[in-house]
Amino acid sequence: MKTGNRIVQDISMLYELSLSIGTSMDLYENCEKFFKILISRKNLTFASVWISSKTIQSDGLDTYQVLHVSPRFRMLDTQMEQDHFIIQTLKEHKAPFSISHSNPVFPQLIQEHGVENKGAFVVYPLKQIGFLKLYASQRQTVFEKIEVAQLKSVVNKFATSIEACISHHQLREETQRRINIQRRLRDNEIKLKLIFNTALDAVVTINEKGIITDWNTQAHKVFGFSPEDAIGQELGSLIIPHQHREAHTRGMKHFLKTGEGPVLNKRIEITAINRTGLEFPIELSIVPLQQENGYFFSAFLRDISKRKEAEQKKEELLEELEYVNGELRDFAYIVSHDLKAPLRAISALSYWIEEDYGELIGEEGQQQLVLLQGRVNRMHALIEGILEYSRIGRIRIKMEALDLNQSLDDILDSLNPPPNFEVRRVKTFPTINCERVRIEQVFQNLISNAIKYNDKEQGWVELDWIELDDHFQFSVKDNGQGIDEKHFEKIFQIFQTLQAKDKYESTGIGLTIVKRIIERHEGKIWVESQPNNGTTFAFTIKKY
Amino acid sequence: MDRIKPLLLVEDDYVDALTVKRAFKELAVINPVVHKEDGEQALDFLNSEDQPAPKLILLDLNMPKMNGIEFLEKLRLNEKLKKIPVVVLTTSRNQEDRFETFDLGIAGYMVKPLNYQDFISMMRTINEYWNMSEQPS
Repeated sequence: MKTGNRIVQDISMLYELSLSIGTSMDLYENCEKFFKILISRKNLTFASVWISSKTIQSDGLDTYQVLHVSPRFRMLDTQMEQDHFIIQTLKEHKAPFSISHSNPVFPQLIQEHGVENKGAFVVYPLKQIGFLKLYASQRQTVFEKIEVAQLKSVVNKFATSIEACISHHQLREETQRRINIQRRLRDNEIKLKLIFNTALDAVVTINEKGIITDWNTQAHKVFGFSPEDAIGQELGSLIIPHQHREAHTRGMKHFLKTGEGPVLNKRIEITAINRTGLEFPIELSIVPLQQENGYFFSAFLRDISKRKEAEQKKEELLEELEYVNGELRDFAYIVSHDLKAPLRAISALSYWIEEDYGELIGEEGQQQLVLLQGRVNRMHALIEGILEYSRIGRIRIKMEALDLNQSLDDILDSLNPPPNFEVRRVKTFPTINCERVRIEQVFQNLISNAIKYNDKEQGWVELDWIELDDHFQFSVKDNGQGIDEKHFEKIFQIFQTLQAKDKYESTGIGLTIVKRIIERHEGKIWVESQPNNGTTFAFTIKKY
Repeated sequence: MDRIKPLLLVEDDYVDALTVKRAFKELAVINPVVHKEDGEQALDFLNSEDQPAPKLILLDLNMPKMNGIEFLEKLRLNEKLKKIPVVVLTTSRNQEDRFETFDLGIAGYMVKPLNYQDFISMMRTINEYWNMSEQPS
């Protein structure tokens, strides 16, 4: 009777277990229902499902991991390597096995928290996908063979249902992935469409036959045809002027035959016609795109009428400027030239009056004639200055090597500074390539200014230089009266002097000429000074 | 300078001409100075049979009707006149003028100074030089 009872119990257990399988496509629910019955009916402490990584990912490692555990949170280790005892044994026997605490390998099977050296494990293979591991702490011996065999078919069914759950899960993930991709594609398409229609250029695509397939908002604005008007039309007859049509057709044919297109992938300037038939200049670049159903050509076009107009205008203005500049140069030259003749006459005549009638006009009259002569001299110097200034702009002298040591010697000779004045050089000067006479003029001018305006008992000028990357930098430093910072700009302007012209005979052209010469040598000139503290003029000259 | 032969001054500016004349007077140059106001007048003078060829021509460049350069071109084409030395006396420091006139065989190029004293010393030099220099005829 006892046996009979047990059979009934076993059958009802198998029936119950079998019913619990596959009620849900959810892995967790499926396992949980099965384990609940199994644990209570078999009086188990623990049950777990282990799955090969290969089952989940085709390129997964050859390891096993826990898929489901009941009760939860009892795992010491959720990974199992290929060489683990359980895996090895299953591989060898392909059948369930049971191991009790009396077996020496028992500890190797322990992955669960709180399992001591008692009870027994039983492991069932789950087809090719993994295994089921059960543990009962109360058992003194292994699970009996008959008992293990009894559960085998129901465990197989469980394996099938797990497999189904996994596939189901994967299918759902795959579907979701595809939905996401599609959504991204659609987003991109919307974005592209937006870019396409907000582009500042007219964007037009045509197919191999020259038929318009895309026509953006800007194209509508530029050519006057709406996308509805344009799409489906032949590009050549719509916007290409008569004289370019043949070349367009020929170019397309040539490209489709040879893959060569000299006008492709670069910017070209050509003309187009709009809806009203008006021909206007455009800038165009064409990009060929190969797609499954043949070539497409994307054309980016820009109306450059305004730019062309501006360019034309600019050219005209430049020409005019050139002309006016030429006129001005000639004017400065001729005027100053013609001014010299009467000046010479005034000079001669006043001299003769003094010579011939000096007695008659008395001392005062003679004084006035001296003043007159002084003004004549100044005007002459001014005219010479203007001539010199205009000549620097007009005439280029060739670049020559200039040994500054030699040339500074010559300059000092000609300047002949007073005995209480010292001109010193900090070190030997370099030889530079420049417009010789003009650079000499620069030094001559700066040094002579320093001498002329010096107010000290013992005046001096110190010349120095350094070499920069692309330039030489020179300095002319003195201990003279100095210049107020507010005049720094002014001293380089034409006809500007800081002293009454009578005090020092000065035209105010010297530094303007110096500045111009230096600028023609791609350099700069600047001044550092404080009143009563001397002045340093520094300037650079490009290395040629 | 040759006592008989005149000096030909081609100059349109009255005061400049006066200056040259006064300078020569001051330097006690006794050759007569013939003054012509432009190239045309000067050529007419040179071509007139009864006149002796001048010893030296002082030539301004910037003149009305026929300027100094045109005058020089004509002069050099004339077999009889082409050997007469010409000294250019001008306001122009222009490089092109210098090149062009020297190409046309001038004997000297002087820029008129502003002051009369400087003018005198220039004239003195010219006078001394041409007194010492041998002439082709």
